Formats: sequence, C-alpha cells, structure tokens
Amino acid sequence: MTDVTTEPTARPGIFRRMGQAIVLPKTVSAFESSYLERMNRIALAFFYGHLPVFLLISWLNETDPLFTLMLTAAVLVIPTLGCRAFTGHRSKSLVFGFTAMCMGGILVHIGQGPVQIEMHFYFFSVLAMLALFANPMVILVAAVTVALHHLILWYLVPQSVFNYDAPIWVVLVHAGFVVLETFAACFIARNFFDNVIGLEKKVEERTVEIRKRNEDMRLVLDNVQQGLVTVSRDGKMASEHSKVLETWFGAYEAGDTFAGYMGNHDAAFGNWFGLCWDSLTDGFLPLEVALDQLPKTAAFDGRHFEFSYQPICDDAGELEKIMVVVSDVTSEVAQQRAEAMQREILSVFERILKDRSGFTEFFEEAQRLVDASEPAASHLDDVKRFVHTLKGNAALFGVDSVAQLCHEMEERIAEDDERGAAERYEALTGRWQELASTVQRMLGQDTVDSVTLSGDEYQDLLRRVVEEQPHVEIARRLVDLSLEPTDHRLERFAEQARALAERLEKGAIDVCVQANDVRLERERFAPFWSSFTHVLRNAIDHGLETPDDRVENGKPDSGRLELSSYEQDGEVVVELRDDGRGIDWDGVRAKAASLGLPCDTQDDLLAAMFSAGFSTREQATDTSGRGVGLNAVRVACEALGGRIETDSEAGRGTTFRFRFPSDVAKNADALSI
Amino acid sequence: MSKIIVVDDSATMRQQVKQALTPAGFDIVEAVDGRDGFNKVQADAAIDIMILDVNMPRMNGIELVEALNKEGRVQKGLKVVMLTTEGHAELIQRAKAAGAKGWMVKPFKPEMLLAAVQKMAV
Amino acid sequence: MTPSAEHHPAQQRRPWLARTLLFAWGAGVLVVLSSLMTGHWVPLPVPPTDDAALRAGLQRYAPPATDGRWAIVHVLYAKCRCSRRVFDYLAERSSPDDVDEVVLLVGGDDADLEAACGARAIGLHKLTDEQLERQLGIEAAPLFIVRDPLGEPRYTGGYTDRKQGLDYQDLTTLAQLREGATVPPRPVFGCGVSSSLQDALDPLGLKY
Repeated sequence: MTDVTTEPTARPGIFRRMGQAIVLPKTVSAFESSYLERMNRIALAFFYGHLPVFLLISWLNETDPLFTLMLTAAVLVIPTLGCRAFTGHRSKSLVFGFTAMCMGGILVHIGQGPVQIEMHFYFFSVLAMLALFANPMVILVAAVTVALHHLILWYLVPQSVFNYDAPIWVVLVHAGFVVLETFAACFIARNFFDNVIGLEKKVEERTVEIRKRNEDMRLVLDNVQQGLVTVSRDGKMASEHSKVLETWFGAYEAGDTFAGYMGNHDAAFGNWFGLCWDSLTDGFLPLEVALDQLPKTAAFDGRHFEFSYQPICDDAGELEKIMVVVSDVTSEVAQQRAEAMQREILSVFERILKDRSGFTEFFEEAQRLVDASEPAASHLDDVKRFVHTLKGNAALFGVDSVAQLCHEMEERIAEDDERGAAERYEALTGRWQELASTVQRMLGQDTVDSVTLSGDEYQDLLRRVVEEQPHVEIARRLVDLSLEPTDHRLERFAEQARALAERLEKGAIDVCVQANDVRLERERFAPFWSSFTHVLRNAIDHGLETPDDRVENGKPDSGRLELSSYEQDGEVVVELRDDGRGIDWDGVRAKAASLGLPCDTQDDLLAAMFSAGFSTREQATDTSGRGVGLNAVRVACEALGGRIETDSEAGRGTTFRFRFPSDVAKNADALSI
Repeated sequence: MSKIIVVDDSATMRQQVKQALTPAGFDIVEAVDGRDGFNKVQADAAIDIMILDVNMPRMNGIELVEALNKEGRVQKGLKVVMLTTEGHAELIQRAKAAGAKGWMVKPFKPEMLLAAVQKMAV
Repeated sequence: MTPSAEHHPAQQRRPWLARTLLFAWGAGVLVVLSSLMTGHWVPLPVPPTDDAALRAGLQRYAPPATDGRWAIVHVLYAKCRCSRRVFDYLAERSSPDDVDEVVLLVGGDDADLEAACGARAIGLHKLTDEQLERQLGIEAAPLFIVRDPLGEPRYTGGYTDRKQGLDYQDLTTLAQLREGATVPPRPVFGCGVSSSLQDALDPLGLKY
C-alpha cells in the first residue's frame, strides 16, 4: 500500500504511527456514515437476537433461564441506551464493542458444563466480526473491556482464602490470545477502513491529482506557441491539442481529421495532406518515405508554417499515431528574406565600390529592361528576350532576388500563363523599385555620361596641353578617352566567367584577356555587351565539360577561355574562344528539324542556332536553356552592323567572333569637331 | 531481383533513378515516353515495378497506367509508382484511380526511392 | 423489536445525561459479569485425605468397614448443577457388588435421587451445609471419598479431570486404589456449599 505523500518527511516514531493507525482520521465521509449507520442497526439486531438464543441455551443447560433473561436484558440496555446517548456513528460502534464482550461473558456463564471452554470461542468470533466496523477503536474497546473484566475478577477474589494457587497462567494465556487477536483485528479494521470505506476518499484524492495534472497539461497546451497535435492512424485529430492551432486555423470539432481540419482553412493543403496520409496508411511505401512526403512547409494568407512529424509506434512496432508539430515561422522567413536582401545590398555595394561604372551601366540598362518587359506593352517574344537578358545580368551582378523573379516570370511565359506572368512582373517591378531607391542613393548623381580618367591619363592630357600640342591631337586624345577600353569589359567578363564556372561546377577555369587597347563607344555597344554575357554563359555551361570529363578525355582538368578584342582588316573583332567539347551539330540539326527550320547546310545550322526559341537543352536551368540568349546577341550585333563567325571543332572547342565595321567603332563623327 | 522500368522524358530524371537503384543490384530498363514504356512493359513480363513521370509527350503517365491496367498487367502484379511535383493532388488521385499504388514527390531523395523500391521488391 | 437509531428530542438536548447513565450501567454490568466468572474460575477447597474431621465424619456416615469392603461416599449439593449431573450419572450406572456406596445430600431434597438410592440399596443421608462443614470439613461439592476396608480415606476429590467433563472417574479411581496405586486428588468443579465459601465466591449474591 503506497502512500501518496508529496515530500519525504522523517518517519514518525513507532508509537506515533501506531496511534495514527488506531485513531481514524476525523472526517467521516458520507459513504462511511451511511455504512456505519447500517452496521450499527445490524449489530443492534444481532445482539437482540442473542436473547432468545441464550434463553434456549440456559434452558437446555439448566442454568437458570430467568436469571439469564435478566442478565441479557441488562446487557442489552447498554447498546440501546448508547444509540441514544451518542449521535456519532463511530461512537455508537464503540458501544457495540463493549456489548459484544458482555454477551460473551453471559454465554460463558450460561454455557457451563461440558462446553464452557468452547463457549469462549464466541469472544474470538465476535472480536473478528467487530472488524466490520472498520474502526480499530471498537476492537480496542472490546479488548479493554475484557482486560477490565479480568482485573475486576482478580480484585474480587481474595487469594488468602484458598489453599490452592489460582490458575493465573491460564488467564495470562487467554490474555495473550486476546491481545494477538486484537492486533490482527485492528489491522484488518484499519485496512478495511482505508481501502474499502476509505476507497471513495482515495479515489477522490486520485481524481483530484489527475485533474490537477490534466490542468497542468492543459496549461501547457493552451500556452505553448507551437501547434502540437497527435493524429491517430485513421487521420483523426486528438481533442487534446495546443490552443494556438485553433487561433491559426480555426475552430476544431470533435471527430475532425487533420486533413479535414486544415482543409477548412486551406482546401489545397487539406487535400494534399489527405493524400499523403493515405499513402502513409496504405502501407505501400515504407514508413520513412511516406513520412518524408508529408508537407513540411505551407503558407496561408501571408503566414508561413513549418510542419514536422514524429511517428509513434506501439510495442509491436506498428505505426499508432503521429505527433504533428506546427511552427509559425513567418518571422523567421521574413528575417531570412530580410537577411537575403541585406546580403544583396551589401554585394551590390561591394560591386559599386569595385566597379562603379560597370555597375552603373548595368543598373541603367536593367532599368530599361524592366520597363520594357511589361507583358502587355510589348510582343511576347521581346518580353521573353528582355527578361532573359535581365536575369542573366542580374545574376552576374549578384542581384539574385531580381534574377529569381525573372526566372519565375520566364517560367510562366513558357507555360503560356499570361496572368501568372503579369503577376510575376508586378513582383519584379516591386522588387526593382526597392532596390533602385537604395542603389540610387549609393550611386549618387553618377551617370554614365561622365567620363573617368585614371591619374596617368590625366597627367598625360595635361602634359599635352602644357606642351601646346596641336588641338586636333588633344581632341583626338579626348575622344579616345571618352571611348571605353574593351579591357575593362573583358576583365569584368573574365571575373564573371570565373564565378559562373564555379557555380556550374566546372572548376577553376583559366580566363585569358587580351584587349589590345581596343576602345569602343560605350553607349552604342552597351546592348551588345549585355547580350554578350549569354555567349559567355553558353560557353561555360554548354561548352566546357566538368573537370572529371575533361580528364577522361585527356584534357587538362581546368577549362580555358580566351577573351580578346583586336582590329583586323578594318574591323574590330571581339572574340571568345573555349577549349570545351565543341558545338553538338547533330543535336542542333535534330532540334532545328523539330522546330521546322532548314538544317541542311552549315549556314542553316548556324542560323538556326541563333534564332529565337532555339535550345538543345531539355529543361531550362537558371542560367540557360531558354533559347533566347544567342538570339539576343545576334540581334544586338546586327543592330551595330556586325556579323558573327562561329568555328567549332568537336572535342576541341568553339570560337565565336563578333566583327564590327571599324568606322562604327571609332565613330569618325566625333573626330570631325 | 526485381526488374524495374523507369519511364520519363527527362534523361536527367532517368539518370537519377538509375543512379539511386543500380548500386542495390536492381535491373533498370529505361523508356523515354508513355508509348515506349508501354511497349517495353508489354514485351517483358519480368518487369514488375514501374516508376513513371506524369507529364510526358505522346502518352502521359496516367494514360500509360490506364492502358496497362486494361492489359491486365497491373492485376498481374505490376507495381506502379508515380513521380510528381508537390501539390498536384488531382493528378495523384487520377493516377490512383487508374491503378498506381504509390507516388513520390519530385525531387526525390535517392535513399527514399531506394527504400520504397526495396519494400515493393520484397 | 429493533429500536431505530432515531434520537428523541429530549435526549438530544441532554446527551450528557444519557451518557452518564450509560457508563454507570456499563460499569455495573461489567462488575456483575466478573463476579459471575469468579465462581467458575476459582478452585474449590477440598480437605486433605488425612484430615481428622473427615475421618470422623466418614465413620459416622459411611457404612462400617467390614470384611474387606471398600466404600465410596458421594457428597452432592442439591442446588448445584454439577452435582445434579453426578446424580444422573449415579442413577444410571450400576454399583459394583463389593463396594458400599453412600450419598450425602446437602441443601435440599431430591425425590428422584432418593428413589434411585432406595432402589439400588445406596445409603442416603441428608445434611445441612453447616453439618457438612463441621462434621466433615467439606465446603464444596460434588466430590467423592474412597475409603479402604480398614476405614482409611484413600481419596478425596472431584469426579472429573476436566472441568465439567463428562468422564466420571469414581470407579476407575477405586480400581486404581485397589491395585495399590496412589491417585492424586482432582479439583472440585462445582459449587461452594458452606455459607462462608459462598460469600467469598459470590459477594454480590448473584448465584448463591
């Protein structure tokens, strides 16, 4: 019998504990009260019933029935009076303890004769019966009565009268047995009290304890800021779940399945969850696979939630239920987004510091592209081209958020989802505005129109003026300085190429730049330069192989790009050479055929390659495969009166040459001041 | 050992499936679209697991399963697993109605695919 | 007949009265019962075999010691139930031929016993308790005395080994004594006869 004590106190002494065991706790429960009332009534009837029995015995035994009647009646006065004298049921029970012993005394007297000794067994039987009062005190009263009885006996018998020794040892043996039985009966009575009578109280104690524990649990569930709920195998939610779930997703009705409940809030999610749950319970997929497929994130009305699942298996290892933990990660997501934005701004800032003019140019062009990309304003093909270019540029300049939005917009356009495209465009312009205002601040008033001189160049100019060189020479020099050296451009491209190669897992490639002091008009060639990035990207993405493949084919493990500009036969040439796998002419032919383009001659194939919508890639990646890039370059090149030359050798590499007439390049107008 | 056919118009996807399952010793057959897949399954009774994409030219995933269902292959024990992108509940439901028992979300983790196939192969 | 446990308004107003009454009564009953018990527990006195008064009394009441005949003298108290049981026993059993038997009946008459004694040629003497005490030195009954052919009392004591047992040992005692064995006296289980003894045993005068 374990005690429900709250804290281990020092054990009270043995006597104290005995006292606590013997004396019942003060409060009488309703159950005890009604029980004792019934017992007392039964006891009274029982003792009254002794009267006829005693009369019978004394008559059979010839021990003066009349005397017996008087004696029994005298004893019966006691409980009768006792029931009036005491109001408490327990007190009344004590009276019966006394009465029982007196009855036993009478029985022993009237049972004289051969069975007088056996009559004593009455005491032991009735002492055991007294345990039914569930009160050790009753038994003690009886025992004390017996003791008193024997004490009075010894007082009344004067020993000096007799010769023989009175058989005191017999009495002591009696006493011993009575004491023994008293102990036993007290123990039984107390146990009876604690466990039967007191059962109700024990149950109530336990119920209170359980209720309290439930309340504690309830407190946790009501206040925890995560949605905790167990979902049983049949999909039903437990009614015990975090309150915050209902705050997020609405009221719960008993018997709701989790799929149904979430479906009330967001039908698509509920549907999806239900499907995943089915695959969990139908047992076709292994448990971990099915669990993995349950939705891990979801967004409802602008709030983001994370879902995690913990399977709970029974002893046999079968899935019993799943604990779903829902966390509101809106703030985390927002924070992540904010951090990403920060990083972007930082990277933009870095770029501006490193290459102000380059970034400025990108920025202005990006602005133009953004404006031009409105789906409603322009032809869809053009929009596609613009967005693609913008995407590439933005990626190269580290403005990933814009690149991502462009990618999403391109996807929608590819799926002919006009509304989706328009929606993404809105998102794009939104983001662009944000960025633009920040960048504007950083760039200040800087525009492309300004010309930047290095310290040496300035000194050189000054020297010429001081030396009073002819005006034409100085003018020419000034014009020269206003043209942009391709050097800068190509270096920038080189850097971007290296970064891109890393991203595409082509390793650390070699990029060689040879600008040969070629200068080109910045503004006129800007569209060409921006679309040139596509060629660069293609070369790295399609042209160069992975280091492993290169080694397999006996090439040095790092790819090599050569970017050069030079003058040749009155033309300015910009050249890109790679030592990759070369153009896959068969693939080009097949694709051209599938698009219905002529594909017989080499020129046909070249023309096809540079046409809109052409790509031998099956799936567009972030960087290429949209079939827009090369087309964009061709358009830009032709707008400047240039042409493209392509040389490719399978397994050895590809070279693209962009030739521009020199007078366009040099802009003779500027010289005729 | 079970023989598995993977039906997907994307070579990359087929490659990924192959890479995930071949080390475990499974025999992989490839098909580039629905019709190709249908022919190959019909030709080879040893194939007992089919992993297929939904969006394919010529004959898409749903149609393929329905066709095979008509031919009785599904009943004879061909286990069908659809690969699909997350969120397309109606596709999955149609696939299940056609007889596909399992489905997995793309992109899948190789070890998950392997575990699923191992369970089916048993 | 069962009284209910309802409280009379009168008693409820003065529970102390009922309680005091109760305790007093209870104590009284306890004392009474205890005194009843004394009568059962206390061993009754038996004169020793070589007591002078006993011998004298024997000569008076017992049949004379002649030709080697043993004699048994039964001392019975008319008001004592145990003695009455001995009556019944004696009435039923037959007397051995070579033994004289006498019954000393104290404290009352008993027609049945007298008739039985007459029928079986058992001598019967009626005594008062004072006579019994004075002349024989006996104060309690039932007991019996065995006298050998020489007139010597050889056994004085109770009938049974056990208290109120049914196994009366008078004849067996006789047989044992005849063979020459010594029989220790058994305690007397019965009642006090003399008034002094009775007073001692039952101060409250319940029984006697």
